[in-house]
Amino acid sequence: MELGVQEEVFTTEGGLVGLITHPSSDEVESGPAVLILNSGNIHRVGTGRMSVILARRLAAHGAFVLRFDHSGVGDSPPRRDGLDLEEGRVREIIDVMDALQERYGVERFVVHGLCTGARDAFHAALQDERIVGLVQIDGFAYRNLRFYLRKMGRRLGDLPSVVRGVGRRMGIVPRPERSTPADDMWVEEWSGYPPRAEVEEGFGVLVRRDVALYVAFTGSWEEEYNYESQFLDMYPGVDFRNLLTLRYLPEAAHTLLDPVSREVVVEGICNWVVDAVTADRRLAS
Amino acid sequence: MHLFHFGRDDGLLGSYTPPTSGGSEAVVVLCYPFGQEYMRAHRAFRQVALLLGRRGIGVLRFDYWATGDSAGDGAEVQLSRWVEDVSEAITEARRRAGVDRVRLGGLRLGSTLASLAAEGCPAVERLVLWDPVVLGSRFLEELDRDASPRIGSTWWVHGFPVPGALRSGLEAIDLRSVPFPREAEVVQLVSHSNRDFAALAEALAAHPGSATTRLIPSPSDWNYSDDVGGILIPREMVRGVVDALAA
Repeated sequence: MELGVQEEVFTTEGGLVGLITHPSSDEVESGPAVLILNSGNIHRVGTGRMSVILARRLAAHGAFVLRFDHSGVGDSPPRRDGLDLEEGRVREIIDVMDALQERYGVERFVVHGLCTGARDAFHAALQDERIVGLVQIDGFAYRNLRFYLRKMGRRLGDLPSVVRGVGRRMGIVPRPERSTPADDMWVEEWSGYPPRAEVEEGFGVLVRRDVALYVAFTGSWEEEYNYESQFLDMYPGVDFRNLLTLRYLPEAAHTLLDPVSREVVVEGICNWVVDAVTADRRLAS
Repeated sequence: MHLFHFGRDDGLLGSYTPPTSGGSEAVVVLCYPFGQEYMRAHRAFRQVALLLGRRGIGVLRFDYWATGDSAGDGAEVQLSRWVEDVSEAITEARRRAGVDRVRLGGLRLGSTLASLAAEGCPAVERLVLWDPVVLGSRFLEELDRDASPRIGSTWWVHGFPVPGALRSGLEAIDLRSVPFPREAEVVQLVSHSNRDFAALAEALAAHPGSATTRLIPSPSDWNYSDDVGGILIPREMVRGVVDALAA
């Protein structure tokens, strides 16, 4: 291991596999552990190794971090109990927290997820009060009037695409062929979002529990999310108080493969975890 | 399957899949490809390891230094370090399996690293090269097609750093001139035909041991990235690789 990084293999009785990165400073010692979830079929290393980079950076700030593979992803075997995918992943997050609590005495958790991971983190947080912080990158998004107005405004600024769109509707311009994935390619099942009101109610529950939230959206989500404060407009019934940190990164791609965008996100999350943990410690004391 | 750290400073993350039946006199070391190709191939490699385990052969897979779960910063990578990592993995695999003989399997750059590490290692009795990178210069051309603007002396391809020192190492690769261990059997498995695979097949004709090339038509778009984390498990090829390593 390079200087300061201490990692340990983690397995659960059910066969889930992961890596623990132990804290290498005492900046946030005794704070919640951070769980980094899979995004779709991408194993625990993360897109462009982002989960590894994030885990080691968080550990350098003093956090205890686990990144693990859900069943059927990376090195973890598939589930055999018939639970549906989402239900199974939430069950596994809870199993992993149980194991960490039993083995390391960790009682509070921050759960980080990108894409499907963001959704899984949300559902797990609703089911388990040990989760005191949530990081969601490109999580649920619901279009609203302002979204459509902005989208229309952008389109009107791009006359050729307006002409193409009208032409396609009239059957004058051919529609582009849609590519189909290769037979052997696994594509994450896109299960869709729950109804907006359900998610709003969920965020209401989390806020009442003082769960700290770091929410970010990238430019790749522009078909669903296209302005900075859309998150607040999506859930008008929730007063997020000072619990929400919201970031809009229109230049960044969903998979954060661009090193500059990735650095912004990693550094932002690290700072947020340190701040959230410090605040959490104040609440606990 | 057991995950563990090994190698210099315990910096490499390995995974050993023991045989579930019988016991072969050889152990297999699987060598991953690089970058996005590694991400897309990870689960397929697990599949190869499980199937070989069922055929009575232990398998070690591992992440090279500064890749995957192993220690290190990708911006400091050099090709020679990865070749040393394969050698360390060979030692570790023989120790874990309690056998002397080794078979190496690799995909794309992993094939090339396996070949370079096999040079001068008589314990290697077979190499299975799956769509090998024959010419490093061609591989760089492929990477450059997807590269984002260089930052300092480092190129970035699908989020993975390709520092100048790694580029230099890659540029020098010509698998046609690598001397494989004299007695080793070399099997080239290709998903499609191209001039590089043909050139390697031609060069292998001069290899004193057995050398074959077999075409198994299958998907091969490894260096590809999408928003949903699509991975690739080309079943026919996986079976072909398992057969070639287990035979």
